[in-house]
Amino acid sequence: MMQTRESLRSADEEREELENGYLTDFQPRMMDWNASRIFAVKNIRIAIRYPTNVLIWGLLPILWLAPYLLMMTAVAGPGTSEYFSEVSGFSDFLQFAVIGWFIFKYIDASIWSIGNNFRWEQFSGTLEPLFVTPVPRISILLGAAFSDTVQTTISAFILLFTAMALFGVSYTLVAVGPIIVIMLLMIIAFYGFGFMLAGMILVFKDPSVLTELINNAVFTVSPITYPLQVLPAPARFAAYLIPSTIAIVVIRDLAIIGTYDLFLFLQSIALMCGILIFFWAVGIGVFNYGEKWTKERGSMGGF
Amino acid sequence: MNILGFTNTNILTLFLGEVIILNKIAVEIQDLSKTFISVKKKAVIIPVEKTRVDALKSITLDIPKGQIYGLLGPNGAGKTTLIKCLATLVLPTSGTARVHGYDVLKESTYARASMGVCQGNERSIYWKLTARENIIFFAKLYRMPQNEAKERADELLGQMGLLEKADIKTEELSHGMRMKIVFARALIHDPPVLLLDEPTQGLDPTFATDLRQYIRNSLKSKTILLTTHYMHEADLLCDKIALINEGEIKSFGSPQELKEDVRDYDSIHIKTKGDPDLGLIREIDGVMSANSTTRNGYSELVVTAKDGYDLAHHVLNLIHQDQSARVEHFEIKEPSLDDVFLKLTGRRIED
Repeated sequence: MMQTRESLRSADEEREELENGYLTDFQPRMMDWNASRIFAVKNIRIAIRYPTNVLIWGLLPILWLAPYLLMMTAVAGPGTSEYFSEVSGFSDFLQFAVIGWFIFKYIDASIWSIGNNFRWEQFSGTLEPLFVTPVPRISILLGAAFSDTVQTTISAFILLFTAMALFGVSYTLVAVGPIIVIMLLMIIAFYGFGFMLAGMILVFKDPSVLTELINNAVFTVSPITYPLQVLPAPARFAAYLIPSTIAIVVIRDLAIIGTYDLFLFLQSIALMCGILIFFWAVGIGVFNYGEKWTKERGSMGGF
Repeated sequence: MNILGFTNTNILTLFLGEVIILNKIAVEIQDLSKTFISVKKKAVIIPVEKTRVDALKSITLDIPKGQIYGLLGPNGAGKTTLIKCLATLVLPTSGTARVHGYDVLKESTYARASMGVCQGNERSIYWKLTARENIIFFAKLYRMPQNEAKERADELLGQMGLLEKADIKTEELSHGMRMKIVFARALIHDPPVLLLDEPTQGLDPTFATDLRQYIRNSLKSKTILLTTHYMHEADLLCDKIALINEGEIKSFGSPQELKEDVRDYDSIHIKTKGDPDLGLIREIDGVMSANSTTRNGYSELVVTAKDGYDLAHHVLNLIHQDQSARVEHFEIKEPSLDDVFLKLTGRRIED
């Protein structure tokens, strides 16, 4: 039928259509990387235009971390304690905690960023205009994720360098490549989790209780400022179920000692890949369900 | 020749005729219904009461290419729900809709690429970005390269009279200017179909007139579905109007046809000092009726005629020649779309 219609178009109509090159060449895409980049750049441009973000990126992280480090120093004295060295295998608890906090910045952002971004678009009134463009949803989700990863990277490195300067900690740079590989896998895996939360935000509008709960639970059982060995056995078991635990353990070893068992490293990569596939499958499924749910109820732009 | 008396050539011609007609339809809406079910819950999760709202009831409407069709109705009539169904933001409960030949459910990406949507909401752009940045951002989402997006943004902002404000953050612009940016965004990819949902809502008269003139003069080749509750806007812009209320199209036709449904004559209202000679007025060719009421030396004269504008000067001349009355006020009243709506639904559009 469409073929017949095409062949019957008058010369004028065909000319009119040809003039609109965009429609003539248009083909839907599964993924539009350019749209993701454009969306991320837009988010970063807007973020820069809120001057107080400088405080959020630069000052707040160190204000959150400093009390932990000061408390550790007050309890155990400067640098370390015998018990800490025994349970963690590391000699300097400040060095241990700063790198843990550096990684947690990415975990925290990955959990919150995509969902928060969708919430912000909903509040701004710009979510519906975005959804009437022919851009695949996954590209918008990834654009939101990229922009937050860039902002988190700025914030995390300010935190790292400030903490290194203030508390005199340092790290070995011999295994930067493997650290980046594990970090990327962890961040990308958590993007999937972020897709899931974005879908929930479409449905529930404000799932802050849930995200706060997940975020704080992850923070509590992850070996960020203390080694896993100090956790009670059930909490330690729960910690190993969280994908970030593997990443924190491997990255900490690579950053402090500079080496890691090759077999264990490859095993960690395989595990992270498995988690990544699982989170993405669940995340995209939940997001698609959330979009359909809101379209059925006509509540896409509502807040 | 077959049993119905058609030759094969006849059948082919009929078939082609139907196909050509179909091809000229830019928006096809067939039996589109939307029912919203809201569930009241106790203790967050236990459903206790279900409320069913039929926002759209089996709407059928075909919009030929290059025509402006209006959806006119009061708040809550279903106008925005219909626009959102076409814009792929709301899933219809039943029925089908095609935009530029693409099914909004099965070929939603193609449909979205073929339409521009303007929702009358100034918040639907980024206030921290400039006017130009907003347009360029959305242009790029429609796969335009940077230089082309910038050119298009400048072209549209120029047409909207906003070029000199292009680099000012949107938060610093007036409501009317923001609405023009929202409107310009809908045109960014030069779509063949435009869905305009109350584009002049809340605008001051100057901005509203600018936008209406733009729609009328610069968007002649576009197929437009316009929702509004401003009768004069629908009257001015639309080739055909669907009067919609409680999710149903109550009446459909050109503004003139709709008004003729109410009455096919105009009434001339003349206030005079003194008492004009009704007998002479009734004798004028074309006058259907003439009546007057007199109070405190002033008369209220009502003359009805098929074409009030054509007859008015005859009546005024006659009163002028008749020394017994002097015209103080004069007005021709055509039936309005509001009269049509009132007759059909028992309520006024702006209720």
